[in-house]
Amino acid sequence: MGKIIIRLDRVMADRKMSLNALSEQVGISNVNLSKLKNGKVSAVRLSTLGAICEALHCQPGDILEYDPAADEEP
Amino acid sequence: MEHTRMIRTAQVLDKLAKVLSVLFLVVSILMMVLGGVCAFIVGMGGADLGQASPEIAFGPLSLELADGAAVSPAYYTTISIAILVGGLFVLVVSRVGFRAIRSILEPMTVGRPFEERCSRALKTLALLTLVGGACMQVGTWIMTYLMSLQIDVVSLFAPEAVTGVTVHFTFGVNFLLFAGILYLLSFVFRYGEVLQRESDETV
Repeated sequence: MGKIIIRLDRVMADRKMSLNALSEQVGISNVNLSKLKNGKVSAVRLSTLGAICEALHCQPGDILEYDPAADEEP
Repeated sequence: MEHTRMIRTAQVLDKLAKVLSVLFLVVSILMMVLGGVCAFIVGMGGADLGQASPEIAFGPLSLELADGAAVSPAYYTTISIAILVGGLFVLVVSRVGFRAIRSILEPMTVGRPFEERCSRALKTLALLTLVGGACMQVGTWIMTYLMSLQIDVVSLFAPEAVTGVTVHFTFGVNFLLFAGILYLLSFVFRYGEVLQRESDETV
């Protein structure tokens, strides 16, 4: 089974937005946003995803990518 | 708001548990010392001292007897050993019990009620309730039987009023029910632990 890859760092770099600035706009802590950026979370709320897309002016598909070849972490 | 209330309540209860733990430790040590000393005195032939103005427990009452004719000397040995064993029982149960209770309360004081140790602590409390309840039940039976042998109850009453005495051995099941509930709660907390972890890993 594949895995969802989070491309948040790529979109943040394109928009030239720092972690601190994004966390302020989205309303979640730096720690949690960092975990999200590094793929260390197991679930994302739709409200959080919506807030990130609004802050970065992007679509969910820009941040989330499905890789069928990647292994799911146990 | 509810979260804050839980934290505050848990902090108060944790402090209370800490105080009660120390209190029970002191009481159990005193019981063991008292029981040991009394057993020693009785063993050294001090039973006569007790029989000078004997006092016996009669349910919730304490009867002061004019003389010790109705009470066998073995009664004082039995009471001493009962206090000693009771003190040991209180020591073990209170140490294990309060440690388990504080394992449940401590995570709540920081706003995280579902930790792995809570489920384990509840299972410990369930086992303690089961074993402790059974020990208390058996202990009560033994003491009741010994008292029936060592106290001539009929002689305390007017012969025309009381002609005999029968001992009824009862079995309470409350502790079984309580142990069962605690055991089930451990599964609830185990499930809560899974949900809490999922919540932690969700942004």
